[in-house]
Amino acid sequence: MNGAQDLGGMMGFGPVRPEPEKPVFHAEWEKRALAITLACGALGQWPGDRGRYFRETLPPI
Amino acid sequence: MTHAHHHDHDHGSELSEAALRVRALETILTQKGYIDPAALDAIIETYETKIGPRNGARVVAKAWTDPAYKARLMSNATSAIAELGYSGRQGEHMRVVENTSELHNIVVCTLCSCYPWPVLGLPPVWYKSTPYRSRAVMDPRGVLNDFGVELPATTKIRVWDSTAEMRYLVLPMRPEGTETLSEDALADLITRDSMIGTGLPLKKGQAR
Repeated sequence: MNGAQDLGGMMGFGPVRPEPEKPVFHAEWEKRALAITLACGALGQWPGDRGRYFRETLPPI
Repeated sequence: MTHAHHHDHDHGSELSEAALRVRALETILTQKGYIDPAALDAIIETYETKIGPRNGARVVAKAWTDPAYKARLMSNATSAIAELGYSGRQGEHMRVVENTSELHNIVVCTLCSCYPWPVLGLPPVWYKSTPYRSRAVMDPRGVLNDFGVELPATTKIRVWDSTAEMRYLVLPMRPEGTETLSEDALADLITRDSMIGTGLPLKKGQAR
């Protein structure tokens, strides 16, 4: 099986690299990026589907 | 191209491209009055200290010790999890899938990063990564090997693909020899990965 459920059949990304439960964030900017994203979602200036659309226009890698 | 955070930039006082971009966004959004840096601090603290896999571990430990709770958890996971105070964003509709010696469950979000935040916190980097998302469905045993996990060939593997609507929590098998352990002691054996299905609970006496 290798299709839409497997990143559209894209392969060759290498092994999964496990990581421990902590730290939750790997750099200071990750913390701020998460918080900004959540805070801005609460502004109600765009629907979830719009955010989804823009996320999905990003290249998969 | 996106920019992985393990990169080869100079590590002096210079901020990375990502750090600069995030700082610029925070500055301009704050100046325009859309966000409050103190609120951002509160959000960050919440995900560092309150919402994480220790919540899920409490759910699993209770299910291991309280048959009535386990029955509620298996029939209506969302409400049973809410009994312990865990609900909300990214966990509105939950389903618990139980591991047995015949069946092992693994959770993935092949599309992006859907994950049960109230019980597991923020998804680890590997969960969102292309290696995991591209192989969890077609080669789950290979993925488990990447985590150092090898299951008996007779154990079937079922992979659950999360969506924006439905999130999954794996109920791992209770380790042998833990009959006398308290719920708290059991919770210490329950790893994040064991609740995603890419790991197994620790054995009695193993420190987390």
